[in-house]
Amino acid sequence: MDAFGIESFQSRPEARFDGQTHPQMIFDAVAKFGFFDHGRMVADLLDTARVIENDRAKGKCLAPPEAVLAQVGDDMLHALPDDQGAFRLRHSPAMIGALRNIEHGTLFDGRLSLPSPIAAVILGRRDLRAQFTTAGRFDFRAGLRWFVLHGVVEHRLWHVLSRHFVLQLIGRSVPWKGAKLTPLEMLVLDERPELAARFDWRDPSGCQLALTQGLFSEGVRQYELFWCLSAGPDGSSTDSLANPEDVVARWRAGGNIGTELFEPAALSVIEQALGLPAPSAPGPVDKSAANRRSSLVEQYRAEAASAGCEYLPLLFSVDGLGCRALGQGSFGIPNEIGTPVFTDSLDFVLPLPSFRARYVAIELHLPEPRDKALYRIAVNGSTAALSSTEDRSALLIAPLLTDGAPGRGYAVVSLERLAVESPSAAAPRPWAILERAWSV
Amino acid sequence: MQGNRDAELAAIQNRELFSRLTEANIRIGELQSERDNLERMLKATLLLAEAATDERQLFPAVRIDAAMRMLTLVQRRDLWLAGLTKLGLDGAIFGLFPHNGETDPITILVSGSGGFGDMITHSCLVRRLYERFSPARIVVLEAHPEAHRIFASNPYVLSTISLKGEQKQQFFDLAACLDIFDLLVDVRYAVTYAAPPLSRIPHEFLLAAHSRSSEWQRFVRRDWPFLNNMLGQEAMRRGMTEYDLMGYTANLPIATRDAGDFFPVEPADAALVAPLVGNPYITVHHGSDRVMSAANGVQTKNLPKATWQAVVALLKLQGWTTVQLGEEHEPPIEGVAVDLRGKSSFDHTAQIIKHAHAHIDTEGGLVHLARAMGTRSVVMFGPTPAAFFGYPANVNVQSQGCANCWWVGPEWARSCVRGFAGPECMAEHAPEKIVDLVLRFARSSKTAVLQGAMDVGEDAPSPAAPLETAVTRARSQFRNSSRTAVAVRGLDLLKLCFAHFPAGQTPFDGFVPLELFGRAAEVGQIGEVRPYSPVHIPAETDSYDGLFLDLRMVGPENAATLLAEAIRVTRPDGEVLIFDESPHEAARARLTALGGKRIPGARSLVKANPKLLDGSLHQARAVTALFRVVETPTDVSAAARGLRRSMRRSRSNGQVASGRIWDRVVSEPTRGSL
Repeated sequence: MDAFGIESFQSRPEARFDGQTHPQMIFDAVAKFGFFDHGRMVADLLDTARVIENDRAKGKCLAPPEAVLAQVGDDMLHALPDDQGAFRLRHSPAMIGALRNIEHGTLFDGRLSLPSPIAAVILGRRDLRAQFTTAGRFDFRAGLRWFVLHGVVEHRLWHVLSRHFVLQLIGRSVPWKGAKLTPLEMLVLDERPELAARFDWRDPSGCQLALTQGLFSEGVRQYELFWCLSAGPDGSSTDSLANPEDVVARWRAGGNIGTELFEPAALSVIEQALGLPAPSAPGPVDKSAANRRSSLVEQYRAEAASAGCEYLPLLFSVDGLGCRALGQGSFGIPNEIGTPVFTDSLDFVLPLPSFRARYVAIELHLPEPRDKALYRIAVNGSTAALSSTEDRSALLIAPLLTDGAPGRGYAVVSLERLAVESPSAAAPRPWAILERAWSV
Repeated sequence: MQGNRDAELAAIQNRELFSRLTEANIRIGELQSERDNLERMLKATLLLAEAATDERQLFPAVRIDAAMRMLTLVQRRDLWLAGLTKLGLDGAIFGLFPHNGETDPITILVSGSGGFGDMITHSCLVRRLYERFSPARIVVLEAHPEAHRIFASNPYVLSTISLKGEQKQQFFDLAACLDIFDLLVDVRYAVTYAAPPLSRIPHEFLLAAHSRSSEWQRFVRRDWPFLNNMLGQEAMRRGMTEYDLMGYTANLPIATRDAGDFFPVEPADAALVAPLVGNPYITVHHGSDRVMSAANGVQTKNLPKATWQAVVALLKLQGWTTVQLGEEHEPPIEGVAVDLRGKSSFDHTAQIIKHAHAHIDTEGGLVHLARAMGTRSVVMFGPTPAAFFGYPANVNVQSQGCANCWWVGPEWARSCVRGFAGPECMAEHAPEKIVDLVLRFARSSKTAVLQGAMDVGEDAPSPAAPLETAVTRARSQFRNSSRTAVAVRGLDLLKLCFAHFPAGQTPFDGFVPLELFGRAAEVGQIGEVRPYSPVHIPAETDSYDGLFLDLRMVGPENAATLLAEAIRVTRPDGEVLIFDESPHEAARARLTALGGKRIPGARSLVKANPKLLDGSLHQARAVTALFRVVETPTDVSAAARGLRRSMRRSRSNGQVASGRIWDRVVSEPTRGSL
């Protein structure tokens, strides 16, 4: 008899699999597979994805198991470092990427497909189940409302988002009272039903426009939907990136080519426009730095491809200083993905969405509390914001001055550290960490 | 000084090491404690599971439930996979995980046994279960090795498993001790429910079903199926048919007027049905499934071969084409025009029966299939009781002398229990009577006549305009008594129309393609939605006053088949409105082409005057065309009327109908051995 009493049970002649002796199966399974293993649970789910997809293709109703997704979501939201398996899951871009390929279901009459990671997060908040229940049934639309308007920011879940999902969220039209709203607008109306009462729906197009403007002027800030805006509306993000060559050419003429802040959809466009590998900073060409940057881009691409992450809002590379190219989609938590800023002067190209973007916002974190920094954001060469801080984090908002035609093309933003007081200033360490950057 | 410093450092190092050692010991203690806890849990599981399998213990299910609660989600999933692998199963069933009481759809296992007919009967129960717990995931477990032929295209069924004997029991036991399923359904005419651990089925539902089925357990729980005769007699004493009993014990709205489901998806084989195109025909079937048959492929409940030959010869004399269906091992009937035994798949057989003007059979699987396809049958009963197995929509002919001996003995199906070489109950059925009934109840032909077409161009107020037009027109034509249906290609259109009516008060039935049915749950909450295949609309023949058919994205062959289906389910003088999104010329060509289409059993599908299309389809992005369904007399019907007149004349002249008239065509006695 071993420590778990399995052998003794197996040795009993009547212990066989005949419907009368379930324990044999139970203990066989326990002995073979061991105890709680989150990794194997997810691996099992991913292995089963093909079966689920095949079934779906036949018009049947197999779906990713919500019991498992609830456990995965619980891990993603609440796992602590002590929970080794669960914590590994939380930090696994491969898992997120693979799960993203499994559609859990559709909402808004099939206009919005719900990826499994988002379903997992919604199911993982068991304490909110009551709010996600409509007419006695679990309502993923209510869950999605919480996720989009609260959950993403509350749990810092940008890495869970996919570009495809975001485009569907802000692009597809859902008929409602004669108007065509986006799923995002529908979710906002679900959250704030009093908004709908403000409009005169006899003029659907006017209401639609007012709702959209209100969402961008107030809603985005209120619910921190910046991640939504950077994807571009109507699924036409790529189209909205018009004439980047002109913008880049002007900046080249000004000698302002520096570090680029990429969005993946625009990556190829920018690369083409910039002719990477390119001089990374004014002054002598540092070939090794250019090569490193090029390799960083390739590394980023490979990493994004292997992780299946389509929506990596940021790629921040600092030339010549060997910083890793990191993005929110890679590891998920901004504190961990924050790009360290070594250089005193940084320029980066920010592809603008085709919304009525009027501001660029950058969130910085100063890791050393004794540091004091002054920095500014300049747009199109003019100082747009000048700020100093002694706080450990700062949110800078700068108006975009894009030739009176907001919302199209690129803005180039300069971030410069004007002064620093640090007892360890001589040491090669980052003076700030860029947490997020977006346009509004 | 140096020595003192070294000693001090050594003391500090010793203290540090001792501190680390203490921490390590504490951690070791914690791990040992955790291991002890795990061991205790496992031993407790062992005891609970042992107790659960001990029949002397009370409430074993509760103990199994407790044992399952001791296992993690992953372990239960592993247990499930291990069981499936051991049983050699494959397919979508591997996609089921323990639901753990979470929000996954209700999952149901329906276990049954019997032949094709029984399985089609079970499909009715499957549909009702799906509707009751929509959107449920239903797995069918049948003993028949080819159960998948019945359920493969059934959209209510997630997966079909064929297991026999001990393996079937093993699977059922596995399902009973895990939280994969919420409900286990055992169908033995009476339905018995069992709820596995963590089941989410409402208790009230289960209690009502248990109270209803408990009194029937004495017939089905022991010695199954040898007490079936007693079960049938008890049911008939209460005026219940097979469907009534199933619905009563299942606590579901199933009644004798229900029918099973079968969803053919492939168009009929053109070569097979070529002789039938444009010819009214009647299908016949002689034989039974291989398992219960005697060596010659028939059972005691089958008609004598000579009777079949006489029936076929008489029908031929009246101008009818006869088609013999069945499996290869079944005996041929001499004189049939088309012999399709063993040549047509189940899909094709279903479609051939569907377009037949009538089906003639003895009690068996193809009668259930014909009922599912909406075709009336003339069914001769003997050993099995018509009052229990008969459909009211059919003509059920029960033997008047000897009858109802099924499961009186174990060999009842292979040899007469009274020892006769040929069962006298079946020899009692006279061919002339059978033919008379067939001619009386054979379905008439129908044709759709194009009334007009209109375009729904850029001025259309909404995408649902044609649909609203169809419903409004049908309702105005037939007032509130009308029964209308819509068969659409996308959920959008259906939902738009449902949105015009209060929940549960939609004035029409909705049909969506099979491939969309899995996602129709959201629309289904508003109105009843049923699936339809490219070649089959699951509705009674002549059941609708108006039908709106969405032909967008439908190929030309399937368009003709679907239109034929629309005509079938629409009653004479009813209307069919078809909706097609295509450019002007394409729509015109398509409508004209439909007029030339012919399908088996119908002389003409559509009469479309091209002049009606001229000048109407100018800017058409979308086209609606209105057809009126008219009943079409056939030559055969006229011949049948002539036959009946001649029979009356014969009687008035003192001649016996079964004498001279029939003797001319029947070369051997109508009554004989099997």
